Amino acid sequence: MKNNRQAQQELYNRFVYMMKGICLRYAQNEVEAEDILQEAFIRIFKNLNSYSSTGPLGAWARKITVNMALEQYRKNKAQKNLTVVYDMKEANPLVEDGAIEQLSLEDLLVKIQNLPVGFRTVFNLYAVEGYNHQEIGQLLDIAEGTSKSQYSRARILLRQMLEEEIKELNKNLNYAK
Amino acid sequence: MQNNQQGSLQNKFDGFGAAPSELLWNSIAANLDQEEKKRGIIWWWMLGAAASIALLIGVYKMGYNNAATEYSNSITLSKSESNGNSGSESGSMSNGKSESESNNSFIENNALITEQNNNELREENSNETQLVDKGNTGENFRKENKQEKSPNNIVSSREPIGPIDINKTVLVHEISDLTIAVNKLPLPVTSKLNRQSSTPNLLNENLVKIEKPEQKNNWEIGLVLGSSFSRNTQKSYDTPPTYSLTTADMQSESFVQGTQASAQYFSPPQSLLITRPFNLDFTIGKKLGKRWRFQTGLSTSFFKGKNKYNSPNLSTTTANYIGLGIPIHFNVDIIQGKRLSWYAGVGINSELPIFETVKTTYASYPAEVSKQRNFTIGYMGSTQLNTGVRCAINENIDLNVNPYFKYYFAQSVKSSVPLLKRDLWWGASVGLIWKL
Repeated sequence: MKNNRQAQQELYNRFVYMMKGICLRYAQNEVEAEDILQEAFIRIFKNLNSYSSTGPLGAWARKITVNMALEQYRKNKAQKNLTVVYDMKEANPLVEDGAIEQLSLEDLLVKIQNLPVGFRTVFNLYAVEGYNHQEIGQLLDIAEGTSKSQYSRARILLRQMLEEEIKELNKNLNYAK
Repeated sequence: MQNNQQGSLQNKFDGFGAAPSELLWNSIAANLDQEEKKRGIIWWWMLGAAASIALLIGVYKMGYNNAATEYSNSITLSKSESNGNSGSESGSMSNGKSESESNNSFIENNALITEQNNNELREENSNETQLVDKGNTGENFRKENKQEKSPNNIVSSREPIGPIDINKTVLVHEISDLTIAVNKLPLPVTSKLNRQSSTPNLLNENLVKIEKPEQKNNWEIGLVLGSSFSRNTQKSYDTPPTYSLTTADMQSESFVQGTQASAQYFSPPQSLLITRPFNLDFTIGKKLGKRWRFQTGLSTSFFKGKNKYNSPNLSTTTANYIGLGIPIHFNVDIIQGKRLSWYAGVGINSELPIFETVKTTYASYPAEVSKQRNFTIGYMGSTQLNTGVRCAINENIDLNVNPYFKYYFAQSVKSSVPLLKRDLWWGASVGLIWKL
């Protein structure tokens, strides 16, 4: 299959939908997501020999996609200073923490994409992929404590976004009245 | 209370996905093609380099062995002579002052003297070892230099020579050494050395006959000038030029314009032209046996290719080509004459082509609108069948005329000039070969 373009396209058609969903979570926008997706597919086609047929192919493709997204994160981290200082001491959103889980998928995706890249990556790895903080620390080359605090701040930011949205909505409703 | 549960959103995103853009697959396929080409280039170059190294080592080894044989020939010229006389008369001299006794022999003045049928003399180092074997009995007699009066002489034996040594063998460094040595002997001694003649000069003719070894040096270098042309018909463009594009690139205005512009490549060129094709080769050759010859070296080739298109605007694409290659050829002489020989050969060429591509677009002919210039490199591999004639101008120089046919089996040409996609070439070269 390695050099069979038709077979590769079939594989592409089978997994591209799922893989793009992953990429969208880790990227800031669709353009960046497709860049990650393209790199992920190239890696998959180049490394098909290393795939052991014991596990499901989808899981393998998913893992490669997440790895590509993390690679992109590391690349960006090396090129740019991604450290964002947020003063969270006074941040105490009125919206409950559990509201995040109640958000619709589309809303949640947009909000995740608006998170700073470090928070977004940690949030995805912990809340969606199910890694623990120790593993995230190893993956992103950060301390376990940093992973914990970034996840916590990511949730606060999401709640703040939600609160802002509610305020905006209320405002519009008042105008309408 | 913060939700610190691992994977709290896992279920929410299960089955989540999004449709990709339509151009994504094309971009991935183009990238994969490029990767394969790159890998192909690396493999071909590695293969070419490995073959070149292996052949060079092989040729060097053969050359080294020949050189070793020649060296041993130069220091040891041997001539065996046999005659049927079984009777013996022997004599050994020491500065003419002493005569030999029946079982004794003496050596003086770096001379190695052997007489009679069963004698064997060996000299491997005129300054170190000399051996005199005496007469019918086959006994060996040795005398150390310290026992001699002359301090310059060192006499020792190398190995015993028994009665089975029927042939008379003389091994000396050079004939001149022996002649000088014999000439240094006093007249009475030399007259005894050669009883058939009273003059010591006849020793060379009657006693020692030495064959000069053939001079064998099979290396040769050459300078060759040639030209070639392609006769195959123009191929249609199989694939458009490939790009490595990100999604951002694809959405950009320049990409859309570039896609429109690249459409012209799908239309056949209005005219095709190759000008100034020539090659200059430096060759190194080695003769392998009587008829076979191995040849490698460095070949440089140049030509200019020009295409003219009519759509969407009139434009020309010119490529200046410079190729650096390593040929590996084997030729066999079919007919060998005194001065002329006819040979045929087969070979593989690995070429590293460098293209300078200049694209000129005209809005209204002949007003020039724009010129785009870029450089690309790639890999080209070809097999070659050739035949030719070699004519000896003098002892050391041959004139070589060599028509050939070349087929390119691998071409990773990124240039947008379709001319360079031609794979069948005819050519001829003329060169001078210097035999070393």
